[in-house]
Amino acid sequence: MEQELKIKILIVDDEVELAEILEERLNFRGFYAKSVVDHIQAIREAEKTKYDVALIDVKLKGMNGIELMKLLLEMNPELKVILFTGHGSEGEGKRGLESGAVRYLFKPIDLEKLISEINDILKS
Amino acid sequence: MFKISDEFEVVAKIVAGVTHQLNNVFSIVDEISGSIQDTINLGGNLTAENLKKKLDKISHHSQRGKVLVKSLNRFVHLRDTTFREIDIIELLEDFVLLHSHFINQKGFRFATCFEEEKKLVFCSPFYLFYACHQIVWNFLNIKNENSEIKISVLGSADSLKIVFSTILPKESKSDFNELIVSLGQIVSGYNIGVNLKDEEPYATVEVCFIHNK
Repeated sequence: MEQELKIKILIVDDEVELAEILEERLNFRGFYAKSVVDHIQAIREAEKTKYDVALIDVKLKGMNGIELMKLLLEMNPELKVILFTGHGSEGEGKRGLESGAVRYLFKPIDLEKLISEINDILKS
Repeated sequence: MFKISDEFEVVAKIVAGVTHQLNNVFSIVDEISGSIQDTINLGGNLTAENLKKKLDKISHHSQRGKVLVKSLNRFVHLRDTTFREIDIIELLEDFVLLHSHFINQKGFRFATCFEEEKKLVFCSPFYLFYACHQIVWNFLNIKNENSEIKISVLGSADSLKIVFSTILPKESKSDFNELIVSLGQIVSGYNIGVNLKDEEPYATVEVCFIHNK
């Protein structure tokens, strides 16, 4: 029941430890966060739970993050997607925003900024 | 129109790959230290065991960063001299590490088969790295699916060779052959030879040293 009330965040990043620690920190801050490492796990997770926000690394093994975002948006059009990357490619960011992402962030992600972005996105 | 040379492109690709890997290292260290601060500032329960686990992770990733920087540093100094004696084992270890980002992204993996013992050759270190990069890069571009790239060092003294091998689709072999022929023309002036051996279903490229002393 408590989980139902929390903002649900799906983290997709093939850098396992980074995804896990981000999950831990977001959970500690009162969100329900779940991390997965690839598109297969992400789709499976999105089938089980209706997430409010997805944080997706653009460079994923097996499937590009932007392609995964399109699939997740088809499954849940209300999902808000924040793309993030370790590469500073502006073209990629622009393509992500044109394809349905609401934000594009660069790693390392500042947690306070991320939380503020999530709250802004969900308010609007 | 300005055209980036292939040689410069290799440097750009390596820097891009290492930047990505280092950024992940910094991000993890940043997140872990942030999580320790969260617990202290926001009143969570941080046991000694949990703190040790997190500090071990910071130490592990700092070490990973140091190794990457060391390899990158050796890579940028490959051009210091056109010709010199070089340990191909050390060069290949750096090569594997500096390419691990691209390999992972494409779902490939390296299978390395060489001893730790030094294997010295006399050639252009940069063009040796360049030849290895072009072979692997073309493997990745031609075969866009999960696969293994085997790297072995065979022979000894004046017959040393580095062998790259992977399974390639039959229809792409003639294109690959052309690439290897043109690569051979570029590196032959640097005491490096490349030969394609077609052993169905494998494409095997041997990098040899023309006048190894």
